[in-house]
Amino acid sequence: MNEPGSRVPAALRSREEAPSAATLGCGDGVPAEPGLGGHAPLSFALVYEQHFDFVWRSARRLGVAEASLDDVVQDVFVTVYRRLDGFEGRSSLKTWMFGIVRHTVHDLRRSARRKPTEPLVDEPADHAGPTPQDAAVHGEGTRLLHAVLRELADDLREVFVLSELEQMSAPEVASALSLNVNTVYSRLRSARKEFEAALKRLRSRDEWRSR
Amino acid sequence: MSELGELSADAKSLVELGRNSDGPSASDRQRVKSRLAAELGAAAFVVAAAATTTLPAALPAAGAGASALTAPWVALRGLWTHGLVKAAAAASAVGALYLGALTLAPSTPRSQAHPPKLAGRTSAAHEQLAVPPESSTRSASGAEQSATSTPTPTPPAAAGPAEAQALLPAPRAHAARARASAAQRSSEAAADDARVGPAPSTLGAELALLASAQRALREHQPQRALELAQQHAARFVSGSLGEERRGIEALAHCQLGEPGHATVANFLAQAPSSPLAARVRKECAPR
Repeated sequence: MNEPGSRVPAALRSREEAPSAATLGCGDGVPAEPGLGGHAPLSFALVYEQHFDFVWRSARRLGVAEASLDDVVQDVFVTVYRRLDGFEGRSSLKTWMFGIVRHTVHDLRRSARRKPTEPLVDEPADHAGPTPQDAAVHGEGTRLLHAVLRELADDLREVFVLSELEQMSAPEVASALSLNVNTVYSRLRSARKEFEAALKRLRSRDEWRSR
Repeated sequence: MSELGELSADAKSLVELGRNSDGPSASDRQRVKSRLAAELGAAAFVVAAAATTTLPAALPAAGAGASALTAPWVALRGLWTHGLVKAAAAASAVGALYLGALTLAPSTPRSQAHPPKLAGRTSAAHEQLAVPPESSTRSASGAEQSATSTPTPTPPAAAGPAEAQALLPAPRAHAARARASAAQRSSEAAADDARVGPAPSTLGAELALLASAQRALREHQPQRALELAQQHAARFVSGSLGEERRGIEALAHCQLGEPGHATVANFLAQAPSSPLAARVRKECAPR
């Protein structure tokens, strides 16, 4: 980041100093296997075990509706299965997989726009509040978090999810989203502002409704 | 929010909560894994070394893994406690045999599983497809192009999300390939079933048929889904997944714009607590 260090969020600054394993190799707890070029094909089963949770929560945090979550996660892993042989470890496996999640969700949005009767992606909270079932299943706090995330613009939400919720370093976020680090910081600041504003807005609305 | 862009205490606590309690449940993991096993073949979850395991060692491993790895009868969406209960008695034995057979069979390498994607792989082809995702998402024509384009052969050696994006198939092409792959895998699974006896064959075939119907629904082909469901009804008169089939039929009628069809009402009356029932209610609700 070219900006003064004091403006770099502390969490990112500390992680930025030691991105090592996660950004330079397979990382993510999946052991690299020796082979051609020092990187043999990874076991899909192992990748699935190690990254299922990450893929699941990423898809959900990017706004995939509960009813479509299974389909999206399944599509992501089908793609991973087919592409894993080509993964050469130049980036973190986790960021590589997030790219697939992101692209799958984008495809879903496009598909949903073409078929508006199919609510595959959650609508903004102004139009579709969480159902009672959502609240019961995921708890009020998680419900609120997802509602706030849905209020963010896509590009800001992606940065916020990776940085704040996944606690990735700025270089990792930049790698995952094909951005430069400066843009990551800039979007993170904007995302935090939007997050705060949306949180206040939703809380105010909930209070008003409960009167 | 401070000048440095730090989150407020309220927002931080919400984020903290999200970090710690936003993951999938064990049943989520199991359900998706079962679906993937149905689509990719259970061999996808078998570690390569297991393929060389001898019979006495493989069977216990398969039995232990049956619930954790494949459980193919739960491969359908939302599945459907009722179906599980009905299949439970047969499932443990069947699953052990089914997975045991798959474990013993040499697992098909991914590269061999999709030879067309390997053929004709060139860096030029990759460059041509390496379109930034945002441009395609923001342009209607780009979206159409993406939806109809031929899928890329193979992953290149690029790194990061650009790599993933360049390699990802267009949605419809992806679905078509998934169907082709599933058909191929289904025939392989049928061959495996034939080797291990009638029970897994029946359950595997039931599953494969309904999984195909489920995919047809996802691809908005309700007529196709109905045809497959009817095939299931004809072939498995007393099958283990009848409720699931009726749920698929109900959903297909909803997609056809027939929410008042008797199938829908019958399904909701007979299986009001099925996880599929919630989906039927949602998708058949007047808009």
